[in-house]
Amino acid sequence: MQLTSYRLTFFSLLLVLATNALGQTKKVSDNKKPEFSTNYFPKENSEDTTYVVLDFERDRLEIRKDKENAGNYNFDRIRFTMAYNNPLSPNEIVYFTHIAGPPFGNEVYSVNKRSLSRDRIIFEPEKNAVFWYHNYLRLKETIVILIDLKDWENKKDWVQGLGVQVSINTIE
Amino acid sequence: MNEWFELFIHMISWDEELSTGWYVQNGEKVYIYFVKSDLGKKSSSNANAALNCTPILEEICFNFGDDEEMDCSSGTCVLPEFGIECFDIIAYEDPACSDQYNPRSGAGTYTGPGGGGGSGSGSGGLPTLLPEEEIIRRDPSFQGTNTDCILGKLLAINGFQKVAQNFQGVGSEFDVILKIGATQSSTASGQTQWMGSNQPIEITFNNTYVGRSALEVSRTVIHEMLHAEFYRALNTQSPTPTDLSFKATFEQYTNQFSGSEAVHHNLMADKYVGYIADVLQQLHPQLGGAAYANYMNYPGGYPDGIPSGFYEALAWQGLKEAGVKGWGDLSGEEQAEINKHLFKAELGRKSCN
Repeated sequence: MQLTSYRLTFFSLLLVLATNALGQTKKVSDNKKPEFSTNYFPKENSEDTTYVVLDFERDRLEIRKDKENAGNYNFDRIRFTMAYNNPLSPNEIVYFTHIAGPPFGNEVYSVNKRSLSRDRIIFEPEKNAVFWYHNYLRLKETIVILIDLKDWENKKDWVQGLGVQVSINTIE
Repeated sequence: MNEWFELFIHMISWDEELSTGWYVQNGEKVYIYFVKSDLGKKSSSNANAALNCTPILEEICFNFGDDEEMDCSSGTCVLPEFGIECFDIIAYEDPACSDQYNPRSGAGTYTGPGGGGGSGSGSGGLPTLLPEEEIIRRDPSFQGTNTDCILGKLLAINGFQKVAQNFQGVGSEFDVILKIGATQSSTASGQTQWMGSNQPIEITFNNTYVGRSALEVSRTVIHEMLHAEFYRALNTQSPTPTDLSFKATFEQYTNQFSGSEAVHHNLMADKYVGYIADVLQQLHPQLGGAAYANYMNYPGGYPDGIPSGFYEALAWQGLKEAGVKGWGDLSGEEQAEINKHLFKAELGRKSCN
C-alpha cells in the first residue's frame, strides 16, 4: 500500500515536470522598465505568441545591430531586413526588428522548442513577401518571437528567441 | 442710435485646442490672432522680416473656471488659478501680415501642382469649407469606413482641401472616385488610375492595409490624391498658369525618368514631402496626437513634443520604396533617422474617432 503511494507520488512528480517543460517560454531579459510604464504601447492580442523560424544566414538578409539610449539605459536594437527575389516588385521588403527600449520593450526569451504547437510556428523559408504583407498587421498585435533556424535544427531543447516587431515597406 | 460693441470669436479645433480667433469692433474685423505653433514660428519670422510686421498682441488669457468660484474675501475678486489659461498668440494690425503668418496659408501651403511645399503666397484668411459630398465621390465600398472618416478630417485642413476641391463634383472638369478593395499589386497600399478624360480618376485603397494607424492611412490618402491632382493638371483643357507651370516641371522630370510612376514619385519626393508633412502635422491632433505624444514622452523618444521630422519621415513612406533619386541623395544618417521615426509612426491610434 505504502509502495503504491510512493509510486503515485513519483509519477505525479514526473507528470508535473513534463507539463512544465512542455509549456515553457521563459522571459530571460528585463527590458520593460517601470519608469517607462506609460510609454509602452499595448498590443491588442498580447496573450497570443507566434514563433518565427528564420535562417540568419539566408540570402538577401541584412542584420544590423545598434544601441539606443533612453535615460540611464542602453537598449539593443537589432534589425533583420529581408528582400525577396521578385523582379516585378523589387521593393517588397520585410523587417523583423528587436527594439528593447520604449515604446516597444521587446524581450529576449528562452524557448523550449519541443513545447511549441505547430500551428504557432511560421517557417520563414516557406513564405514569400506577400505572406508577410498580408499578415503583418495581425502579427503586430501579438508577441512575435524570432528563432534562428540553426538553433531550431540542433539537438538542444531550449533555444534563444528574440521578441520582434514585424514591419513592411509600404508601397504606394 | 450709435452703439459701440466689441467681440472676440475664438476657433476651437476638434481636440479642443484653441487655434485662431478674431477681434471685432462694431461689426468690423480689427485683427485676427493665431495661437503660436511650431508651424507658425517659421511664418512669423517670414512675416516680420518680409513685411516689417510688428505684433500688436502676444498673449491672450481666458477664464475657463466658474465665476462662482472667485475668491472675493479680500474685497477684490480673484479668479481661481486653475480657471485661467493663457496662450502665446500673435496678432497683427495689418491684414497682409496676418496672411503671411497664417500657418494654414503660409508655409507648407499647397500652391498647386508645381508649386510644391515651399512658402507660397497663400490664399489668405480662413479655409472655405465645402461639404465633403460636394468635393469627392465615394464608392459604397468607401462610405462609412474609417478611411472615409479620415478623409472627412483631411478635408477640414485647408492645404488638403485645395487639392480636393479641384475635383468638386458639380461642374468640375474631372472627378475622382475613392474605393476600398483589391489593388493591382497585392502589396501596394493604394493606387491611382487615370481612366481617360471622360472617366473619373480612380483611387483604390487596398483593404489589407486600411487597418494601419490612422496617421499612416492619412498619408496614403494624401499621397494618392496628389497622384490624382497630377493627372488632372496634366490633362486639363483649361489650364491655369499654375497648371502650365506644373506641366513644364513635369516635362523636365519626364526627360529624367522613365515611366509614369517614376516621374510622379520623383516629383513628389522633390516638391511635395514638405506639403504632405504639413498636412499630417495639422491633422494629427484630431487622430489622437495628444495621447501619442504622451506615449513618446521619454528620454530618447520625443520628450519635447513630436518633431516636424516625424511627419516628414511619414511623407517619405511610399516614396523611398519607389527608389526615387531624392531618397538616394539623403545621407545614410538622414535615412536612418527617417526609418527610426517610421517605426514609431506604426504605433499610432488606428481609429479615426
